Amino acid sequence: MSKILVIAEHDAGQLKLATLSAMGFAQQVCAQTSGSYDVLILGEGISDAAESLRAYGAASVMVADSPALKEPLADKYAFVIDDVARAQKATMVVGAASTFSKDILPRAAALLDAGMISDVIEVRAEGDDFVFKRVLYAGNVIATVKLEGALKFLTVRPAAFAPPSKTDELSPATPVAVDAGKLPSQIKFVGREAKVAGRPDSTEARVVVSGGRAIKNGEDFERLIGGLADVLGGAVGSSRALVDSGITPNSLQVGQTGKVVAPELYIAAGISGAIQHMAGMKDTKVIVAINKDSEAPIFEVADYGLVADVYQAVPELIGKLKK
Amino acid sequence: MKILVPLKRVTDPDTKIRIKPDGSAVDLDGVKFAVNPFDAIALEEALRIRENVGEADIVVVSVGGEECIEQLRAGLAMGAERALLVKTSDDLDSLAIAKILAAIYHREKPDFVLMGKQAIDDDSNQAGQMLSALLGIGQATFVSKLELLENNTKARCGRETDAGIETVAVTLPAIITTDLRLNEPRYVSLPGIMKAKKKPLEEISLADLGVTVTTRTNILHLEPPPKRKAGVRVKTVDELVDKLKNEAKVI
Amino acid sequence: MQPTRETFGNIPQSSQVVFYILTVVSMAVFAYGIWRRFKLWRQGVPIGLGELVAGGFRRAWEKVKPGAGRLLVEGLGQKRVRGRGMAGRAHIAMFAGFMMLFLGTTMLEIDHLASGISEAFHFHKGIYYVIYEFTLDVFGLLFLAGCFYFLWRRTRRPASVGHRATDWYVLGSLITIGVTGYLLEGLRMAWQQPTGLAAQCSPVGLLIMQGFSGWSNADARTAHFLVWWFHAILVFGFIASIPYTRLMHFIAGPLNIFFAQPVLGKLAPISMEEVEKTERIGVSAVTHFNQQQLLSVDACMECGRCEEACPAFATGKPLSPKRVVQDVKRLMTLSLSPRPKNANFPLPNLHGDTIQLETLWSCTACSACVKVCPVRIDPLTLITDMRRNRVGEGELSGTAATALRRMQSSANPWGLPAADRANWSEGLGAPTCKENPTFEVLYWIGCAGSFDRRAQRVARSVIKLLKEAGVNFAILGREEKCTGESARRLGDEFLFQELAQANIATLAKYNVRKILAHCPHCLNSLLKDYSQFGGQYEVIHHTQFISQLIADGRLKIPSAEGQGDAGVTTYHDPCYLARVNGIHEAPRDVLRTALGAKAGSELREMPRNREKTFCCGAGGGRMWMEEDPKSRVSTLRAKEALDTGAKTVAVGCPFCLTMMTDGVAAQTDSVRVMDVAELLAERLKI
Repeated sequence: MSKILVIAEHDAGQLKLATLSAMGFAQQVCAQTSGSYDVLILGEGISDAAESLRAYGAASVMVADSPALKEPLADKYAFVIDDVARAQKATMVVGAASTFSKDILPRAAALLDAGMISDVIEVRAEGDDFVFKRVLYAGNVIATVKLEGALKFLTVRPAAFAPPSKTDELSPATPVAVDAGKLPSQIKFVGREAKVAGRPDSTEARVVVSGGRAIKNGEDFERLIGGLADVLGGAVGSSRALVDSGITPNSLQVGQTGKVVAPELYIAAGISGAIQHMAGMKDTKVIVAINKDSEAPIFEVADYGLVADVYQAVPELIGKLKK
Repeated sequence: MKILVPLKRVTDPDTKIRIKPDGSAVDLDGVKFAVNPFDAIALEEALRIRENVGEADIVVVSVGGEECIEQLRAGLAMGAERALLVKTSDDLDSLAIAKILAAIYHREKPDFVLMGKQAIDDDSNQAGQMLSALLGIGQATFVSKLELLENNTKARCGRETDAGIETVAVTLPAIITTDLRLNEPRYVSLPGIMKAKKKPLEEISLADLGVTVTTRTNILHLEPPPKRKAGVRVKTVDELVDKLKNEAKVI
Repeated sequence: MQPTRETFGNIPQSSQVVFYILTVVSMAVFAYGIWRRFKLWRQGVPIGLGELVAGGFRRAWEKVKPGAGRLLVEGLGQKRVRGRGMAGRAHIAMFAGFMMLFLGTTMLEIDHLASGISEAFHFHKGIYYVIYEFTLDVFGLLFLAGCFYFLWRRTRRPASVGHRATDWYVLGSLITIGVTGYLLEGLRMAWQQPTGLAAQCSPVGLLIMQGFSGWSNADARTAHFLVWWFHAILVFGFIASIPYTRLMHFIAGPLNIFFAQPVLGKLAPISMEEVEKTERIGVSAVTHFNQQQLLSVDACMECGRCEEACPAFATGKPLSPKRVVQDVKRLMTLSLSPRPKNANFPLPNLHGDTIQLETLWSCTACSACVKVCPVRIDPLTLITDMRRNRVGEGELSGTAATALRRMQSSANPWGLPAADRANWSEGLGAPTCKENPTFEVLYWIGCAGSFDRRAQRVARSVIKLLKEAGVNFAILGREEKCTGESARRLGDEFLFQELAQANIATLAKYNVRKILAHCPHCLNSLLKDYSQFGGQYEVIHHTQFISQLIADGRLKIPSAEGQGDAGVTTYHDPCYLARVNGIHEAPRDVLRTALGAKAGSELREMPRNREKTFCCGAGGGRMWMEEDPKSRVSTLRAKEALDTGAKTVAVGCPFCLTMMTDGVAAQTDSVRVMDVAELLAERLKI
C-alpha cells in the first residue's frame, strides 16, 4: 500500500507547475499499486496555492502555514517534512526536481534514514517494490534502479510526468501545526535577487536560441532571436561575431571563449558553425541550424537543418510556435 | 581553521560515456579520470579562504579504492595539506557516503565542510544535504558566492536557485556545497605536483572509522538515451516544427 | 717624394709616452667594463663552454665552425642589418667605415712597431701607402655619412628606436672623431706639404689643407698637435665608454651572433630530474636564464626592429619584444649593483615587478622578432621560458588553461571525444596504418583536420589529391593524438612531453619515417620538438608534397578547360611554414597551378610576404585566448590581404584558415578564404 507524500513548491504563494508533475507521478504509482497520496505545502500565506492543489485527487492537502516557514530554509522545512512523513507513515516522499526539492529533500531523507534517488523519469511497480529509471552522466546514461527501504525519497523530472487530471471532488485541506520554537535556526534568510524577469541563463536553460553574423543589428536580434527564445521559454546566446560588432554583450557569447551550454534544444540561427562556437554547445541534445548557406559547417552537426534566410524562417517559426 | 573537502574520483568531464553492451556498467576502458569539477571548485574556495585568513588546515578526503589516490594527489597538488583515503571496494550511494563523511567529520572536527553540489557521474546532489542532517548542522547548497563573517562563525552564501540568487547566513559549522560560478579552480602546477608527493596521505578502512554502511540503491541496468538520428535537412518551417514536436520531443 | 708619412709625426716623445699610458688606461677601463658585464652574464645557467673546445682541435673546429661562419657573414658581412631601408644602408656604411679605419689604425701601429725594430720592416710607404690613404679617406666619408644619417634620424625620434641621453654622446663622439680625423689629416698635410701622388691619395685631406694655406708651418704644427691630442682623448674616451653605453653591442653583438642558437621554432626540453632538483620549472629569476641569453640582452641596441615586426605590439597589446629584452637587462644589471643593506630595497621580482603576465600571454610565438634581430637576440625564448614558470606555478587560468586540460584528457584542445577523431574520414577510403601497413607516407591530420568541420574539408581535399595521384599513404586515425605544439609554446612542457611520447611510441609502432602534414605547427613540432625525444622523421608540408606530385606528373593538370575560379588571389604565408621553416615557394607553385592561366586569375603578393610574413594571431596558444575585437591581429592581417584587391585569400595552415576566415568575414562577405589544396582540388574538379 503506497502512502505517498508530495512536497509542493511555490514561489511566494504562487504554485509551481512542476509540483503537478510530482503529483502526476504519485498518481501513476497509486494507479499501479493500491494507495493514496497527500500533498504537503509549507510557507506563509499559502492558502491560495493550497486551494489550487485540492483539485487533483490527492487524499488530502496538508498546509503548514506559519511565519516561521516564510522562506524555504532547509533546516526548518526538512524538520517539518520529517514530522509529517513519520505521522503519515509515508512510504514515499516526492518532489519535482528543482533547486527547492534538491536542497530540502535529501536533508529530510537523512533525518529519516531513508534512501533517495533523483531525477526519476519512469516508475514501474514490480511485485512489492518499484523499479525506477533515472538520468545520470548529464543525461548520457539512463539507469534502471531499485531503492531499498520502507521509506523512499525521490525527485522526479517534471517533463517526464504529466499532471494528474482534475477531479470534481476536492481533497480536504488539513492544517499542520508548526511549533516555531522547536524549529532549528541554523540558517537565516538574508535576501533574494530575483532573476531578471524573462529569460533564463543560457548555461541553465532547457532551450537556447543563438544568433550569428546573419543578424544585422540589436533590434533584429531582440525581435528574431529574443522572440524565438521567449516563445520557447528559452535563453538567448550569440556567436562571437555579434559580440564583436557590439550587437550583443559578451555575456551572451557561446563558444570556446564564451559560455559552454548543454541545453535540450539549441537553435543556431545564422551561425556558420566554426569550431570555436561548436566547442561551446557540443553537449546539446538536439541541434537545429537555420542558415542560408547550405555549405555552412553547422549543418554537419545539426540534427535538423533548414537552409533558409533567418529573416524569413525565424518569424515564420515564431508564428507557428505561438499557435 | 580546518576545512574538510571531500573529493570524488569521476570520469573526465570531456569523456564520451560508453556503456558496456550488456548494460551492466559504464565502459571504463581507456577512460581518463579527474577530480569532480564541483569538488575542485570547493577545494579552490578553501584555498582562497586560506589565502585570506592567513592559515588553514585543508584536508581532502576520498572514499573508494586505491585509484582514488590519483585524485587525492591532485588535491594535494592544488594546495591541500593532508589527504585521507577511506578505502573500500563497496558500491556506495549518497546516504552511505554521507554516513562515512559524518564519521570523518567527527574524527577531524573541521570548522566546516566545503564540497561540490553533485558529482558529474551520478548527478544526485544529495550527499552534502544528508551529511548536514546526520550531523545536525546547517547547510548552504549550490553556493556561488561565499563570505566568512563574524570572526569566521558564520558564512554568508549566495545560492543559485531557480528563483534567482538567494542569500542565506548559516552558522558554522555547516556543510557548504558549491556551484559552478563560485570560482575557477587553478591549473595544477608542476611544482605543486612535486610537493604533493611529500604531503601525508593516510589510508583508513571503514572498520577503523567504526562505520558499517549498506547501500540502498541498486543499479540494475544502464542504457543510453534514445539515439539521435543523423542530421536531417528539413525543407520548411512546418516540417521543422513537426519534427521538433513529434520526433525529437523537445518542444 | 716617397709617399709616406711618419707615424707620430710632429708628436714629441713625451706625448707618445703619455699616449701609450692613456692607451693602457682606456683599455683597462674598457676591460673592466667588459668584465663587469661578463660577471652579469656569468650568473646565468652555464652553456657548456668547456664542451665547446673539448675533444681536440678537429672536434672543436667542427663545433665552432657554424658560429664562426655566422660571425663572418652576419657580423662582418652585416647580412642581417639589411632590410630596414636607409637605416640598414647607413649602418653598413658606418660599420664599413669604422672597421676600415680600425684596420687602418691597427696596420699603422704594426708598421710603427715593426719599423722600430728595423727600417727594413717599414711598409707604410709607396703604393701600399697610396692605396691605404685613399681607401681610408673614402671609408672615412662612408663612416661619417652613416653617422650623419643616424644623427638626423635621431632628431626625428622614430617611435621604435630607443632614446637615451648617452646616445647623443655616442653619435657626437663618433662624428667628432671622424671630423677631427680629417682635420688632423689636413693639418698634417699642411705642415708636411706632400706633393704629387702623396698628396692626391688623400683627397679629403687635400681639400682641408687648402683651408690652412695661409698658415705658417709652425702654426700648422701647433694646430696639428692640439687637434691630435683632442682626437686621441676622444678616441680613448670612446674606447673606455664602450661597455657603458649602447656601444656594448660591438662586443656583445658578435659574441651573441656566435653563441646564439640559429634554428627557429626550437625550444629546449626540460627534464623531470631538473625540476625535482631545482624545485622550479622555467625562469622565475634573471639567473635562471642561461649565460647566452644574459649575454644577448646586452647586445640589444634598442633598434626596435623586433617591435616593428611584432603582431602583438602592432595591435596594442602590452608586449614589445624590445621592452622585454631591456627589462630583463635592467633587472640583470640591478642584480650586481651594490645594494644598500636595507630591507626596504629588495631586488624587484622578475614576474610581476619587471615582466607582467599579460605581456607573456600576448605573444603569438611567430618568431618575427627572432628573425629580424641583427644580433640574433631571441625575445621569444625569453618569453617561453618565463611562460613555463608561470604555467608551472598555476598562473594560467581561463580559456587557455581549459584548452590545456582538454588536451590532457581528450588529446585535442576542444575536449571533443578522442574516440571520434577519425570519424571525418569515413567513406573517404583513407586507410589507417593498421589497414595499410606498407604505406610510404603517413598523413598527419592534426586536431583541426580531425575535429574542425572547416578544416576537415582541407584534409578531405588532400586525401582526394593523394588518391588521384595514387600515393601509398595511411593515417593514424584514432591513434593520433594532439602533437602538443601549442601546449609547449604556452609553457606546459610536461603536458607536451606526455603527448609527444605517446605519439612517438605510436609512430614507432608503425615504423613511420616520412610524414606529410597540412598544419605547419604540427610539422614544426614533429620535425624539431619530437627529435629531442627520439622521434626522427622526414616531415613535409602538404603543399611541398603536392608540388612534387605535380612536378612528377602524378597529378594531371588539365590544360585550358577547368581553369581555377579563384580570380585574383593572395597567399598568406603561415609563420611556421614560411618564416620558421623557410617553405614558401612550394605553396606558390601549387597555387599558381590551381589558378591556371585564366584571365583575371593571378597571384598578388601582400607587402609582408614569405619570410617577412605577418602573423594571423593564432600561434603561441593565442588561438585559445580572447582578444579585444577592436585590436585583433587577424583583422589587421585580413585588411592587408583585402587591400591587394584579391577575391580569394589562400592559406596553408588550419589556424590561419580560422583566423583569416574570421578576419575577412568581419570586413566583407565577398572574399573566400581557402586552403591551397582546396583550390587545387577545385581546379582539378575532384
